[in-house]
Amino acid sequence: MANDDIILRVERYDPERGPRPYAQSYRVPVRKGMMVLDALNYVRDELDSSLAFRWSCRMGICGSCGMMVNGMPKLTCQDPVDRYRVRAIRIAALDHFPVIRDLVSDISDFMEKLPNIQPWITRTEEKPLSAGEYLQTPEERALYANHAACINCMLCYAACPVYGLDERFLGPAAIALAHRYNLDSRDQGEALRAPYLSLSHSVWECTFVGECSEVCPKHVMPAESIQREKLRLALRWLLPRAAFRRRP
Amino acid sequence: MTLRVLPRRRVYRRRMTLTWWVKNPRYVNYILREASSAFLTVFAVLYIVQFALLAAGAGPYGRYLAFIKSPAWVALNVIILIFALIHTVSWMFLATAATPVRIGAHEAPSWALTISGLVIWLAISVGVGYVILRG
Repeated sequence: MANDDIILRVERYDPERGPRPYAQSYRVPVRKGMMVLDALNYVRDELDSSLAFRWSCRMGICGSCGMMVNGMPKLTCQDPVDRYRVRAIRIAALDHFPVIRDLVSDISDFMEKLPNIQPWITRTEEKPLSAGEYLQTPEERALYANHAACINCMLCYAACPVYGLDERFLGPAAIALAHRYNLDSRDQGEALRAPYLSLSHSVWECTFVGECSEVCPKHVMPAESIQREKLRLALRWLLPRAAFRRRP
Repeated sequence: MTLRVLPRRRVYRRRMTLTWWVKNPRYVNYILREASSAFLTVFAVLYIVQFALLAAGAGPYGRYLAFIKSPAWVALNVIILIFALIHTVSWMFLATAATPVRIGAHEAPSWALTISGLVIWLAISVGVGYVILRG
């Protein structure tokens, strides 16, 4: 074995083969600047074309190559192989999601929950087209800028033990997205999102483990977003409605 | 055209184990923070019991004063103190991260709020300690 080879120990699952996953190891020659995703692509191109995993952009934008690497949720296209100072790297599908095959997770649960928080700009008072765009100052944009960077990679769900123990929990990314739109000066939909966010399996189920923010590759800080949504919901309950009214 | 119904997918679900929190130091911190509430509850209950004994008269309260000098009792209080400190410090980190404080157009960094909170907490603790010990 060459000095710069690594072993990828992959947790594989094939529903045709049996109900349990099994481990398979691959030896991969390391190149300079190689990411974990590059190593997996080497396996599929050169060693075993049956290995299933998702990927697309290779630059941390599409959010499709999230996996567990040595037990931690990682965006594999942004995860250098030489970060791991061990010969063998363990790779598995994301925690807390059903595994369809090998490293491919079923994220339907998130996709079904997402529309409930209305992750789009909602207007209750529309301006006529002749009045022009809904303008926003740089300061107003800065309020939600980091929350808008979410790429739905699901690392935060894989890191969240609350979601792992109870999949009814709405989860970090969905609440962070609700928070992003609630902070947007062009949006008037906070009152529509509030009833769903107030449900028992929504913001109040979060016990602020904080790991979702630690693993987020885009620094969206979902844990902080959830706590801030708790504060906003409490204030909505306490204060008169006029305090939350957006300018038209 | 007929709609072909695909067979239900057979998926594998990896379940969380009882020791899930051991694999990551940050999960360990979380569990310690959550466990601290149990120790603080014990302290609060014992504190109330102490007042009940005081109200019961000199005999019961005297026996209580003798009891709290036992090594087991001191050890329990040391453990409670450690968990109280863990809870307080972790709360300072979490509360400041969750509470946006805006100064003009900018949001104050959470580390600055955490340090401010810790300094205020220490100052109040020293002040209260001074008043109690002086008396």
